[in-house]
Parts: sequence; C-alpha cells; structure tokens
Amino acid sequence: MKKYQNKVNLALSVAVCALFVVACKKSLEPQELSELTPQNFYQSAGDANAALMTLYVPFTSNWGNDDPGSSGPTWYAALYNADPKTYLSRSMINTDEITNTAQDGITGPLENYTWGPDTWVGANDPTYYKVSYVAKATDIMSAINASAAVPANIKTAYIAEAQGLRAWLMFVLYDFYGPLNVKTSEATLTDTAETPRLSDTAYVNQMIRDLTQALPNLQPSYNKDAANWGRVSQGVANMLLLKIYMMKKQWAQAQVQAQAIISMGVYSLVTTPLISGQTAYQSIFNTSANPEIIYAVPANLTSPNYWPQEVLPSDYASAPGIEQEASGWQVQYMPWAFYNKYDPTDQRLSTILTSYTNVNGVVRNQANGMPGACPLKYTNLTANNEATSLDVVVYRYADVLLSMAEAINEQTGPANAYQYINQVRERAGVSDLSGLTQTTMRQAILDERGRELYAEGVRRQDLLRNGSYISTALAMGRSAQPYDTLYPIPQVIIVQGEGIISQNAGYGN
Amino acid sequence: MLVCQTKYKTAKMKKRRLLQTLLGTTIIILLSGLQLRAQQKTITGKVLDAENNPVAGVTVTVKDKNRATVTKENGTFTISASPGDALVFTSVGYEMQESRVRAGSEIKITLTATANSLNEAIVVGYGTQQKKEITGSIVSLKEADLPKDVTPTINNMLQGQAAGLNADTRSAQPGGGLNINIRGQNYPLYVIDGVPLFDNQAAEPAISSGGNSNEIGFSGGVDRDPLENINPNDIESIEILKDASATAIYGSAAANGVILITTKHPKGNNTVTTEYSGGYTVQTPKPYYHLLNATDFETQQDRLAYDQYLYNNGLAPYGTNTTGPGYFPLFNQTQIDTAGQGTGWLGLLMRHGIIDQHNISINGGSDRTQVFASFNYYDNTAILKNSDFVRYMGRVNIVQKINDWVKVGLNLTMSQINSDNASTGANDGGAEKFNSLQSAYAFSPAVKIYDSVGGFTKTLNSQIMNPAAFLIIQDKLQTGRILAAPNVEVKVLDHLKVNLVGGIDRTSSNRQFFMPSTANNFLYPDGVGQLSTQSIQNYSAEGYATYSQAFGDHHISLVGGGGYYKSFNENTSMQGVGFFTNALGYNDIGLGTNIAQNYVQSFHSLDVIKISQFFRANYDYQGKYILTVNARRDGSSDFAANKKYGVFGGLSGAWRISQEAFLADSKVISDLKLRAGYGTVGDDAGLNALELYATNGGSFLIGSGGAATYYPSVSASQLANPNLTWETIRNTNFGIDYGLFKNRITGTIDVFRNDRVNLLNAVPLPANNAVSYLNVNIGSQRSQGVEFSITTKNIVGKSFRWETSFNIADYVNRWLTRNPYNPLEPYQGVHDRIDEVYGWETAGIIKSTSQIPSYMPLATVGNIIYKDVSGKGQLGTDDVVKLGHSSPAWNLGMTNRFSYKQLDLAVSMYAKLKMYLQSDYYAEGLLSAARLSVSNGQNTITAIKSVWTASNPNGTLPGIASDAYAGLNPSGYNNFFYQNVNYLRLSNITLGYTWNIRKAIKSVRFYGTIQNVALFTNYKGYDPELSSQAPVTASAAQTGATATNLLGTLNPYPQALSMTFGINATF
Repeated sequence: MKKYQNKVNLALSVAVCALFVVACKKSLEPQELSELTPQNFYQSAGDANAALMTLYVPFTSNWGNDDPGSSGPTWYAALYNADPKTYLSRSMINTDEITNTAQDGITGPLENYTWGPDTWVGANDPTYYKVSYVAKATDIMSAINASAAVPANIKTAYIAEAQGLRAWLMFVLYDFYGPLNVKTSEATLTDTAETPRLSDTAYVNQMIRDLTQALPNLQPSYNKDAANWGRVSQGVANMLLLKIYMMKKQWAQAQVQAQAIISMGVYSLVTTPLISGQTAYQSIFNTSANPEIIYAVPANLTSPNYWPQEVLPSDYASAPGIEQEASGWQVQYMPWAFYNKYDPTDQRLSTILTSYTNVNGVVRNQANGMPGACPLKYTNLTANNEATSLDVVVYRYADVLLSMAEAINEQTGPANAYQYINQVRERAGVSDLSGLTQTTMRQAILDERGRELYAEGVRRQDLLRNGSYISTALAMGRSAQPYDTLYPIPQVIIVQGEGIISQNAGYGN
Repeated sequence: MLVCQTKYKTAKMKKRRLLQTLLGTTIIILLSGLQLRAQQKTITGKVLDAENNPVAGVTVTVKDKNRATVTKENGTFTISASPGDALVFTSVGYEMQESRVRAGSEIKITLTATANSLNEAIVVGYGTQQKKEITGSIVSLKEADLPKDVTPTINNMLQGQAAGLNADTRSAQPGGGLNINIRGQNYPLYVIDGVPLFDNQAAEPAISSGGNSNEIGFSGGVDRDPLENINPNDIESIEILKDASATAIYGSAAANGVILITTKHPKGNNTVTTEYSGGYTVQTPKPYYHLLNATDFETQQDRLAYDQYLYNNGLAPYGTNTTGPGYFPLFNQTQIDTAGQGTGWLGLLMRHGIIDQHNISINGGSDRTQVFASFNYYDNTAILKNSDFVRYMGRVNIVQKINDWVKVGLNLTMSQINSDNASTGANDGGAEKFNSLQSAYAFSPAVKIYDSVGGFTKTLNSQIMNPAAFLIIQDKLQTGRILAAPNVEVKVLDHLKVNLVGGIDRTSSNRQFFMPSTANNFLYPDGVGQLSTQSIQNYSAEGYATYSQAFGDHHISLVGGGGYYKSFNENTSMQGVGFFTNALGYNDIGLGTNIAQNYVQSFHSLDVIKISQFFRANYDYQGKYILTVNARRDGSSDFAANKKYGVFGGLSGAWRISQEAFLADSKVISDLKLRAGYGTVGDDAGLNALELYATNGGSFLIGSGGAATYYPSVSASQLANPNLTWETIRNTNFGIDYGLFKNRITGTIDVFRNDRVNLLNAVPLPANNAVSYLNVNIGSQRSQGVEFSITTKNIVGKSFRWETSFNIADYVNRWLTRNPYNPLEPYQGVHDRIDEVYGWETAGIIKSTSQIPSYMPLATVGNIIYKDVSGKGQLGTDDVVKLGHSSPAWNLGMTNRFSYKQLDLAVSMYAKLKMYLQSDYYAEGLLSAARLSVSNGQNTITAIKSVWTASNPNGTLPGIASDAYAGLNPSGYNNFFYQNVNYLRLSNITLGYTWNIRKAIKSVRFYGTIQNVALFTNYKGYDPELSSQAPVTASAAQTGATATNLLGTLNPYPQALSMTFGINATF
C-alpha cells in the first residue's frame, strides 16, 4: 500500500508541476480563426480588392456601415442612401425641390435651417466622418503598392481606382464643409498631432491632381462590363473634374471638361425608350448601365435602393402603372410649387406620382390631402417590400449637356448654349428655348436642371452656384443664415482640434 | 477478494464494534424497561455535526433538573434521565437543540452550525477559511440567508442581500438578465465550484442581421442571465469577494470582484435525506404603459396634426402668414365620436402567468461515498404570450473516498431550457422593425385585429406589423449547459494535501425562428426563417497544494498552484427568405427562394488562453493577529509578446481585538476585528491587442443584374501597440467586523478606495486619420466608498423571534487623471465624477409669444425654455451645468425575519436613493408630438395629452415646433426629461408554517410568497430599476459617452406580481 501511495503522490506531483511548466513553455499565441492580421492579409489580388472595397462602401445605397477605424466602432449612414442623414439627401431635402416631414431632432433642424455644430453628433453627421476614408485611401494605395503578391497590372488598376475614390470623397467633403485637413501623404497617417485645414487652392489642386493621375489607368467605362459595373471609370473621373470646375465657376475649364466627356463617345442621351410602354426619360432609371449613365450605385435586394420607399406615402396601396404593393415611409415629398414648374406635357412627369389609392381605398391627390407630389424617379417597382433593385443614379450624361450649356452661357451668353439645353428639353417632349438673355438663360438652365435632375442630389449645389440657396430658403420661410452655405464642422472635432482646426464662418469658435 | 478484505478490514471492525455497542445498549434498555418503566436510567448518545463528524465538548443538560455532562472526543455522552425528560444540547458555534428521552433508543443528535458563526467556513478561492480568520472584505451568504422561494436565477437571490453588491433586473422576462456590479464595477468573475468562468455570457443567439440592412430589426428580445441554467436550490453558499486583497488570487480576471458559488456538498453517513420543494405561482401583470384609446388617439392626432400644419405654413401662433393651403383632418368628428375604446393591443399580448416548479434532492451516502443529487423542473407560462420558459436541471455531486488519503469528486450539472421568445427590448430601426411591444404601443386602437378577409389589419403607418401577427411567429430556443468539475484531493502528508480541479463548461443554444408570410411583415412579406446556434465554452485545469500546520501559537497555511484556461465562443446563423408555403416553418429554411436575402454565416472568437500561477499564505498568531498574502501571475494571449505576463498581489491583516485580555470581560463587545488590506488586480477590458484588420466595415455591390457580386471589405481597425497591457486596480480596504451583546448585534463596516490606473483607453487620434483612435494605457480613476451592514436579533423569545438584516452602501467614482489627448469641455472638471450628467437647465416651455426669452430669439411657442445661467444674453457652453449623477447616492437592502412557534415570516426590500435618470417614455419617443402629428402617426401613452398646442395653452410638454437651440447645446443634454429618482421595492414577503412530523416525513413547511410586492418611487417613467443605467465604464466615458447614453432597457418586458403557494418537505 505504501508503494501505491508513493506512485499516486508522484503522479500528482508531476501533474501539478506540469501546470507550472505549461505556464512557462506553452505559447500564448492566439489562434486567428476568423480575424485578419498583418501576417495573413494583403497576400493576393483578392485581398487587395477587399481592401479597395473599403473605399467603395461609403458610396453604397444600403443604409450604412461601421467605420472599423473608429473607436467603438461607430456606424455611419452611407453617402448615397436615401435616409435624411446622408450626403444625397442633405444635398436636396432642405431646398425647394424636396421637403422632409420627419420633424425629429435630426431632420427638423435640417429642414428648418436651425442646425448648429452640435446638432448632428457622431453617427448623425455621417458625411464629415468620411474624412477618415480619404486617409484610408492613402493607406490602401500604399499597401497595395507594397504588396509583392498582387500582380502589376492589377496593382495599377486598383491604385487608380483608389485614387479616383479619394478625390471623390474629397469632393463630397468639399461640397459640404469646404477644404478639410485630409491626409494624402502616407507619412502622416498615424500622426497624433492635429493638422490645420488645407487652403482652398491646395485642396482643389489635390483633387484635380488625383483625378488627372488616375485617369490614364482607369477603364473608359463599365457600361458594357456587367461584372464590374459600379467601379470608378474614366467617365467618373472626368465627371468629377467637371463638377469641380463648375463649383469653382472656372467656366472655361468646365466647358473643356464637358467637351472631353462628350468626345469620349461612350455616353449619349437616351431618346428612345429602353423599355416599351415607358417614356425615354422614365426608362433611364429602370435600366442598369444604359449609355446615359456615367455612374450609378449598383443595387439589388442585398443592397437595395431605398429612394422610392423614402417617398412613397405610408398609406399607399396602389397607383396606376406601378406594381408595387408595399407602402413607403413618405419621409419626403416634392412641394407643389416645384412640381408646378413642369409643363403639363413634360414626359418627365411620368416618374412623379400625384395621385394614389390608399389602404382604405380612398384616392388621395393635391385636392385631398397630399402635401406634395411623390418624386418617385424609379418606377419599375415590382417588389412588395421595401427593397428596390434599381441602381441609384449618380452621374448622368444629361447633366454634362446642361453643364455645358451653363458654362457657355456664363462665358459668352446663350447663343451657343441652346443646342445643349434643348437636346435635354426635346427628349422630355417640351419646346425648344430661344430668345433669352444671359440672365434669363441662367434661370432657365437652373429650372431645367431642377426638372431634369430632380432627386439626383444636385439641387443644393445648383442653388449655391446660382447664389440663390439662401434666398430660396428664406422665401420658404426658413430661418436660413448667410453662413448656412456650408455645414458646420462637428463641435467635437473643433474641441479636439484645440484651435488648430478652424470652424466654418458663422458657427462660432 | 482477499485484497478487498484486508483493505476494508478496519472499517468492518469499526462497524462490528458499533453494532455491538448498539446491541448492548438495546439489551440494557430493554432489561431496564422490564424492571422499572418510568425510572431513571442511563442514557447514552452521540452528537454529530452536519458533516457527520463527532462534536466534542457539547454540554448536555437535563431540562429543569440540575444535571449535566459534556460529550467526549468521539461525540458520545452518558447521562441519567427519565423517559419524557428533555435533554438540551448547547455548544459554542451551534444552535441549541432539545430532544426528548424516549424508551429504548440511543440518542443521536445532529447539531447545526449557528448562522454567522465565527467558525463558519468561508470559501475564499482555492480553499476555505474560518470566518474569524478572514482578513479581506468578503460577504458570505449561506443557504439560510438566501430567499427560499421560487427564484428563477441565482443572481435574483442576491438582490438587496449584500452591502456593495447591486443586482438590477435588466429584463423581467423568465430567466431574464441582471446587471450585477460590485462596488460600482460591472461583470464580476464567477467561480462555480472552483471553476472560473472567464467567458460568462448567455448563449442565446440574437436574430441575426447577417450584415444585411434588411434585417428583421427586432433582433432583441432574449436577454437571459448567464446563470439561468444553474439550479438556485442547489446553492450551499455564495461568497462575494469585494476587495483586491481577497480577489488578487484571481489576478487579471478579478478587477470587478469575484463571486464564488458553491453547490451543496454531499453529506451523510449511512443516512439519506430527501427533500422536496414545489411551488405554484400565479403572475399578474403590473400596470404597464397607459396607451390612448381609440377616441383619444383620433382626437390627439387631429390636435397635433393641426398645429403641425400651422407650423409648417407659418401660420399664427408660429408665424405671421394669414393663409395656408388648407387643412385636412385625418379623422372627422363622426369617426371620433364613434371610435370608443377600440382595440387594446397590449392586452392582446399579455395575460396571467403561471410558474410550476418542482425540486427534489437526495443527499446521503456511506462512510466512503457521499452523493448529492437534485432534479429541478421549472415551467413558466409567461405573462407575455409567446415567451414561455421550461427548464429541466439535474445535478450530481459525488465525493468518493478511495482510502484515507485519496478522495475524488465530481460536481456535474446539466440543464436544458426550452423557451419561446417574444420580441421586446431594444430595436435598431424604424417603424418597419418594431418589436411586438413597440407595435402594440404604436398600432392604432381604432382598427380591429383582422380585416374582412381574415388577414391582419394595417395601422396608419402600414409598415408596422400587426401586434397580433407577432403571436404567429415561431421563435424557439433550446439552451443546454453542461458544467462538470472533476476533482481529486490527496493527503500527501499529515499537513499537506494536493488538489487537482478540472472544469468543462459548455453552454450551447439553438434558435429557430420563422415568420410566416401571413404575418404580413413589411420587410419580409413572403416570410423569413432563421436557424442560429451559439456556444460559449470555458475549459480549465488547475492544480494546487495546501500546507497547513500549527506550531504552538503560530499557525501557518500555504496554498500554491497553477492553471491553464481557455475560453471562446462560436456561432453560426443562416437565413432563408421567401417561402411558397408556411407549412414547414423553420424545419426547412432551404426552401427560401429569395437568393439575394438568404445567407449563411459563422464566427469563432479568438481563443483567449490564460496561464497562471497563484499563491496564498496565511499566518495566524494565537488567533489574534492574522496575516494573508495572495498573489497571482497571469499570462494572456490578448497582449503582445513583451506584455503577456502580469503579476498581481494582495496583502491583508486582521487584529481580533476581542481576543485581547482587556476586552475579555466586556459585557458589550463580544467580537471585534479590525481588518486592513491592499491589493492589485487587472482587467483586459475585453480587448485584444493583436487584431489589426476587421471585416466589419460593410460590403459593396459591384456589377449589374445577375453578374453582381456583394464584395466584403477589409480595413485597418486598430493600430498595433506592443506596450498595451492590463488595466491595474489598486485597492485599499479597511474594515471592522463587530459583534455586540453576545452577538445579538453583528455586522461589518468597510471603507475602500479603488484606484484604477493605466486605463485601457481609446485615445482619439485626429479624425482625419485612417484609424482615428489608438488603444493605450492612460488615465486613472478613483472609486471610494463605504459599506455598512448590521444584523440584529431584536427579539429572542421562546416562541417569538425577530431578526433584522440591513445594509447600506455608497460609492463615488471620479477621474483621478484624465487622458491628456482628450481635451475637456469648459464645463468639465479634471476630477469630475464619472457619472456626471452635464447639460442645460430648463424652465418649462414657452406657452405664449410673450414668454419667449430675449436670449432665445429663434424660439417659438411650444419650445423648451433653456436657462441663460451665465447671464450673457445668449445660450452656449457657459450655460452648461452639472445636472446630477446617474449612479445612486445610496443603495440599501433590508430583510426582516419573524418566527412565532411554527410560523415564519420574512419581508425583504431594497432601495436606491438619488439617481439622475431620464424618463424612459421620452427615450422611447412616446412623449414626442411628432409621433402623432403626421398622417402615418403612431399611438402613444396618455401623457401625450399634455403636449402644448395652440388649442392646449396650458400644455406642459414641448410642442410641435422645431427646437432651434437643441443643436447649439454643446453637451447635447438638457434636464427637461430628467429627474433625481428614488425608489424602494418591497421585493418579497414570505409566510410559512412548519409541521415537524418526525415520522416517515420529518417535516413539512407550507408557505405563501408574494414577490415584487410593491414599488414606491417618484420616477416619471415605467420602472426605474429596468431603466437604471449601468455604471459608466472608463472606456465609455472616455469616448464621450455619459451616463445618459447608457439608458437601460427600452420597451421593457412587463413586470409581474407573483403569488406563490408552495411546500417544502424533508424525508
């Protein structure tokens, strides 16, 4: 028995010692079963594509995404989603084009021009925080460039796309906030010190430089490449350059740039319906990758287009020509005053709903409680839920023609501008313009852009360029201030900036 | 056989001797009985303790006769007495006991240890200590201290029981979760039968979004307590280790305190005790949200919509316009007049609940094998339909003595919970994603349940699913847990023993969800099904040696050992969308035809591996001066190579002043001990320093039509910081344990200071960086507090007894040093409290244009009036003031126990005083005029009648007009919907009657219990406990979140009043 006892003691002592030994020898390396680390990433073209996708994600039509580089991480709304928080919506829903009904703490101040630097905190100011994606682009460009595993041709293509996306993100930020302190140099990416905002010239030049450098390495277009539709092409880079020149009122460069897009020969105005039974205009928004579309955010049921739901009345049951059964949120509508700018024969009205039957079987229209027209835009609505599979149209050839008309009119008056604006008018089935002065032509182009490009997120830019953004708001009874032409930098950024980051004029600090 | 015989020889011989003695005694008794019936005779007997060990030194007296003796070393005694006499057994540390002398039997007495006895064993982690030896701050709750009635989970038993421990119900659903915090720190480490559970979370998976925006939305609903599957009836004791000198032995996992749970130890020597307890409970829903009826709904909609119309068109009183486009009321007077009460949607979802519980346990054994086994059945037909909960639990605890020096044991529990799940709680989306309660709040009371063709009706906002349609959702959960702790104890030498303890803890849960197309859900009109599983796993192996020896007045005890731990969780989920038939439910979700919305996903967390060595030394001189040292070295896979290891330690001492000669004769002080301790522990704050890229940045669709691909994205999520390591908590604790007037009054006073240094913090980098934060160790906080507990035996009569236990605690958590990279707002002080709520003060609302303050020129009628505290004539940063503190100033708990003969009565309550809370009605948007003023308005609570409109000039809630100043408020908060809240919950009243039969059935106790009896509060919301904020954590506070962001449960599961009738029987 004594012998046995010794054996047990020995075994136990070994076991206890083993637990100590384990503590010394056993590796504490974690097992990465579903996480990526520097050791296992950027090792293939697929990895590079996944990194590049980080820069596309902010443009999605889906609701939004977590920013993995933010603490938390924080969820932000996407740029081209239809929610009132997004870049798309804030570019139009407080103008005369669209009115928003949600009187909550987020949208109320937008609609009533009562926003301040503390109104949209964190995730409620999704656009500003895209500034981090500019740095992500810089990081991803250099990481793709440094990876030995990515084939050279793919490297060049992906870096060009990333550079184009960087410029696009910068343009979006510039549109809302003016020049920001974006990071376009790899060396500064992990600096802990705050940096001041760039000068206007430096910022604009950086955008132009990125686009110019990216252009030769981008594909001309993806309209005929179904698998890659939605990637940044030369068409997109050219369009961004046009937008920058227009915004800066550099009319001569704008005219050259518009001509460059026209001369590409890739894009054209769709004048015959692409879908039978629809107007030509109507069919553009119901047909993916048609020749008029320079860029659209691809959408399907996994990543839907929510615009129609955002504008359909919540008691909607049916309307002529629409298969859709499900109602919408009716968050925004087109005021009747704007709707009345259309000629009654305008074919573009085929995309705007002015009457529908509600769930109780009552027909509702302007005379019966509809607060405004329903700016559907997309009419091939077949699903019976909130999901719409139609691409969200962002840049379109008609915009190029109208910009061309505007650039010419601003330089030399209407004479050479008519041909461009009238192409658009003819397609809509309304009469040609003639006999206008430079001033009346300016107004005509603004109105035409309003009718043609409604719900495409251009109205705020158009009114700003025209100088009538504030006056339009005041005329609607909003308490707009002269400085409301730019949105404020979020207060938390100003505080964190400790005086280095300046606030936009009029917002204090 | 031969071997066996030799081996068991001694035992057999002992048995034989015992038999002989018994036989002899019996013969003597029989003979004496024949001779003289009622004459005095010699009585023999034996006194044992609960563990069946003999108790020496027990005084045995014959009642009312001047005769006494004392038990010997082997517990036996002899005394002369007559049949019918009462023998009284008294001994220090045990309850007094009486026994009648009967003819013809040897007396066998089992003494029970006195509650709060100083010799009571306290579990301290890798061993036990006697209460008198304890030097740290530990609360020990024994079975007798814990509520005896039907409690769903162990954590429920802790409410109001211990000073410094807060247990707030987070969800009132069956098995619902609680927020447990010790001294203001959340998520203590649980150790069950010696097995530390490093990953302690409920396994029930949420309904997944699959990364898809088209998520169902009411993903919440299941909020269960991680200990839902451990049987509360199996608990022998719960020890709460509060200070670092005690918890340091658990090192890097012990930052938030440690709760040691010990299940019933098997006992009995040739005895078997069987206990049955059962209860039948009726649950009555407490008054829930008071919603508008149909008439009121239509009236209020018209009233608010009209003001919305006036405001939108700049008409008086909001503007100067005189004409508008015309107003179309949604409801005309005839509709309003005939609407009546309408449909009560909440009533449709709620009902009376029933809990049926049975628990049976068997405890017994031989001299070598002891077994405790229990079975529990708990069936709750819940007050919210579709959330029924059935639980089966079994436990076997075995101790087997292989021989005199080897003992093996196994503590094994298995459980199965089958439940349905009604969707409640938080929600992440708009009206189309409302859960069942939200849809019941919002649905128009003016519509009926079904339309003319039998389908579910729609409300004004047709995206809201009909509340009744939630009842046809199938949502099943099956959760199984196995927790096994095998152990071996070997007595190597007289004073040295070695223990090996293994731990296997696996909780797995399946969820099966199916919403048929007939539910007419807006997002999934053709139906959706989901299957998901989640598994939480903890594995551990520990070995330790204990050496304990006395050298004269010196007593030394040493424990040292090591352990290996691994924990992880994994889950999978899949979704099918679009079903041509509802017949198969979730049984074949592969039938889902909507390919774009179907998905499969899986996840396995990083394995957290921990390797540790630990050590404890106790030294005690004459039982007067006691010193304890605890230490642990932890290695964790969470940190980079040069910071993998951390050493934590604690030192504490105690002086039992009452043992000193000068107090020996004190009539007042019967026990007095001073304690002091210092220790350090760690916290990894759930962070892994090594993950640098993440896939959670969303996906993007590339391609057109059928050629489209939804590409995932990968991007940098963390910057590498090789110096990142544990937060360290440095804790100092002083305490007094006191006993007065022969321990009629006992209790504890503790004061503590917790310095949490090297906080793991997300330092904000410039927002224009790719990764805009860096995890570093920076900043520190100080938490200070005081805890007081007292137990008084108010009346100790022969038949009437009354005992009161009361505890009260307070702590304050402040910044010591801030993160220098996080500049303070002007209104923030460097050393402010962490739960400080900053904001603008308000002074009601603007009821007429003449009331618009001069410093608020943009304001209009119906807006909130903010106070211009600075007097500068405009609102801004300098008007922000400290409004209040979200943590309660005082936490109190009290239990009164009365007994009169066979009757017993216990009354428990707990309270929190002065906590600054937001109204949950406001947080849920139920007080907003915008909710009802639009044509797709949603129903709300009756308080909406107080919203200011032109037609309701005395309204007290903000009106329709947009608030121009809200966006200028740098804090983002104002006090309009806040208040300092006090509440007292009368949590439990139990009345019992015990009938001692002493035959086949030893005793039966009948009892009635009322749980959640009453709530007394000034809170202008539903229930301040469900709404109470979790204490703000360092990381949350650093990222700018204040207490106000952390509002508890929204759309809470309704509370119930529970009335139980039950029986406990001992056989």
